[in-house]
Amino acid sequence: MKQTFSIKIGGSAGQGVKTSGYILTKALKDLGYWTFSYSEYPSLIRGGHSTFQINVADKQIGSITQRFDILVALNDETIEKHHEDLNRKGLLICDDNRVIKPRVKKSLDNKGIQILVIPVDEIVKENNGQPVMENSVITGAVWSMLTKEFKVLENQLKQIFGKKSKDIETNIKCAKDGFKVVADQYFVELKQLKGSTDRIIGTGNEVAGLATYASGCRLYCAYPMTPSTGILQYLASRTDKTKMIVKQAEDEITAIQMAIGASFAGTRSACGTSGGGLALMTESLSLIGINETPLVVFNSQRPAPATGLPTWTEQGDLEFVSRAGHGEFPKIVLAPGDINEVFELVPQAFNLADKYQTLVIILLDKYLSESWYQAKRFKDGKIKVSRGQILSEPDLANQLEFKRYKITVSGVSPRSLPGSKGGVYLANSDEHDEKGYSTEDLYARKQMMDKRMRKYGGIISELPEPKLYGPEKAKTTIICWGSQKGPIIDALEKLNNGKSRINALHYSFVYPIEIETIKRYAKRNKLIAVENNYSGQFAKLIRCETGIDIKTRITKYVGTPFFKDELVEILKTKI
Amino acid sequence: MAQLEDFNTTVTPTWCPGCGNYGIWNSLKQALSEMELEPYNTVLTYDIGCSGNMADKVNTYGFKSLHGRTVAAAMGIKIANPELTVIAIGGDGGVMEEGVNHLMWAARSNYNITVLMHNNQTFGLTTGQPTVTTEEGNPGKTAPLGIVENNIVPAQLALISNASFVAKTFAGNPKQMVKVMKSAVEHKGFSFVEFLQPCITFNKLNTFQWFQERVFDLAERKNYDASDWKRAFETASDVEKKIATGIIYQDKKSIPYSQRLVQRKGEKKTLVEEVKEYSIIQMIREFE
Ligand SMILES: Cc1ncc(C[n+]2csc(CCOP(=O)(O)OP(=O)(O)O)c2C)c(N)n1
Ligand code: SF4
Ligand SMILES: [Mg+2]
Repeated sequence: MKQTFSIKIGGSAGQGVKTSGYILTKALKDLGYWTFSYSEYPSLIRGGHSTFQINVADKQIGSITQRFDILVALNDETIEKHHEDLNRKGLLICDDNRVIKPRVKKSLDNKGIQILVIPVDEIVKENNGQPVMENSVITGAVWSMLTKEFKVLENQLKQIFGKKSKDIETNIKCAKDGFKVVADQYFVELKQLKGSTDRIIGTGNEVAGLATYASGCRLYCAYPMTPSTGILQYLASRTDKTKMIVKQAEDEITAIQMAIGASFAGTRSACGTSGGGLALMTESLSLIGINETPLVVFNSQRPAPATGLPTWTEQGDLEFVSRAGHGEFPKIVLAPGDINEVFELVPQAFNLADKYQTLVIILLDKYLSESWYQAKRFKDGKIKVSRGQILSEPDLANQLEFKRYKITVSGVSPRSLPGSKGGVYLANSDEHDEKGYSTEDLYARKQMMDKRMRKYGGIISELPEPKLYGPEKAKTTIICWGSQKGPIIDALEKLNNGKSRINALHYSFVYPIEIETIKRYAKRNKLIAVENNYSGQFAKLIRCETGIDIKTRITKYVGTPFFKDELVEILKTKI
Repeated sequence: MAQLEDFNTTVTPTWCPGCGNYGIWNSLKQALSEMELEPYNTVLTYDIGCSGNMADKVNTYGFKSLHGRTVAAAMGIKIANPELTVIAIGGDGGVMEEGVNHLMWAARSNYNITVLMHNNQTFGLTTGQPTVTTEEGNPGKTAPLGIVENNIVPAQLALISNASFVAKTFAGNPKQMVKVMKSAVEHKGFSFVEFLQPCITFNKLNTFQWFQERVFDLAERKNYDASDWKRAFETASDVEKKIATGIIYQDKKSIPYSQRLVQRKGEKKTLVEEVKEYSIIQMIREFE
């Protein structure tokens, strides 16, 4: 039985495309299947066109395909726009108000696509429901083509609508009648599998919020900007439990200044934004460079320049972020590849920021921030908070004279927290001496610059090697980073097909870069950069740091991530 | 108990001889010691400017931010550790121009911090360009043909931003400065204090004598009621002939930001003390 397939739901914004997709995703997981769900929507509130795609598999996946097997159309535009990407022998599900043009009908027939028309209005009316419940009818109908286990769907409907609506019973009745339209005829027949109870579903933003809380961050500041807003909203909606302070500031400059101030005061704080907001924060990044305050900043990328494509995806800010801030100062840029890595790297980011008293930027993008990943449940108790060198009052009492910016071999100087006796100092944005007092003594300037930049020694020594995916013996190696890990790994299996043709090195520590591994690979393998941006920004960074020029660069910059099937086709021609 | 001398550092001031900042500096240290604050539990944030050059001349924890950001940094410090006394220092350029949004938001949010704005009606450190508070007849270096924009009265802006404490004090009156600063710091909520600060080098109009002839102290007006917002706004607006100084407005019942947060009710610890690993057992359930 076929167990790897995909469903695309389309409709206009406000029609509940996302709700249906989310319910189906959760129900599929409860049934025991692995899923990856991705949504596209325009930057407006009503109208427009939005889609939700679920890829289903019998093992963990991190990508969607361009072509799909089931198309669920809540409006005519969906049929018009997406029918061409329906696979042969696929299925179109729509309500009886949809108009299928003869040209489209012919093409569907040619591909052997089955069309299932659901009398949605009638079912809603029979149940005395509201027009919005058309959604539940359709969801029920989709479910009926996948499995006979209605209970699983019902549970999810209860969980999701139970929170929001009083009409839960009516919704369930609508779904049930939708489910009954077609009896015992399946597109794929999914049986209840065991083993999904220890799995979770979450977006990169939700997991970033969860990990931020778990890492002991007590203040999160941001100004809403897609696609980073999910972190702010996740954390804000949990403050009753977490007791954190989650601050929607008046702009990004305030957000970062508050976070820096709070970190100087001694708590753990973070802020988050997208490219445009980070541009506003840039002067403050440089402030961290000189006053050596630990800080974690999330930047979830979207296609730019300027406002760009607000609700679409791109890995376009790497160059900007790795160079952001006037002058020279140490910084670390991390780019997790999926929600597991988000959960792993966020605590590390906070610890690194504290250890090196420096800036750590976490690069996400719309794809990672807002897609629903399925993963094994994260283990509790794994996270360890390590705060670096903070002097307590007794430590300070033992010092003859406390110098906050003491010149040290590692470049890191122990700090004191306001409120501690004996630790008074000035965190100064001017160049300063060891006590923090302004100085224009040029020898002192050199010493202080050297001290700060020496932190890179420690940082570089603890950079992990990139992770290798696919057969070690392969002669072609993809160089990739951040969120495109999912599509690339998913494409490898198909490309190798049991042989050792191609593998991938994935970087989640993207600045500074660990350079030894790639030097080894460059000697014996053909390298291909795969990046979700125009110029291959990571490849450019690698050339800058190592001289290795990755000539073959597969880039994409149209607002969508790499699709697995698309990537397979492109890479086939390059191996 | 800390004495005034305990707030001195080894660094000598670099202001022009006769600058209004000297008086403010001494009065600030006086006020801190009279309030029995200690250098270690007090944080002063600074802006960039002549006023900000006070940064290494007061012995407390200090945070010298970027130009315009003194208030924004102060908000974060106070949120993290409400036990600290947090005072943000800046000039009219930093507080009323580059960072004017922070002033408005700090006021409306009622963070329990004090903003001390040194208003010399010029960009001092960048050598005398006009600011938003420069008077029409006093063009600076970048407006030799005259200032065509209207000016803004800082106390008015603070009042319409819902500041719960607004005061004005003259850099030539140490007694009043100390008194006003103490009231501002002790006020529970956001306090805005404007210093009328002569800049003897770049502002030849608003001199010590010019102010001396115009200022009067509201404390001497028996029937002045600082809790009356409308009256306060009228008083703040009336700067044509005489300039009212002292406490212009105070809402003694104001509730500061940190006490308004529902999730922090009854929490005894500061955010600084709360940094540790947190269990996700509860939260992860929502992901199942
Ligand atoms: C982002 C930025 N823009 C401009 C400057 C240059 N700058 C330094 S101080 C200053 C103005 C200071 O005026 P004010 O805040 O009134 O302080 P004063 O020197 O008068 O006390 C300016 C424009 C800067 N340091 N940073
Ligand atoms: S320029 Fe003006 S404000 Fe600056 S130190 Fe000199 S007198 Fe004071
Ligand atoms: Mg000024």
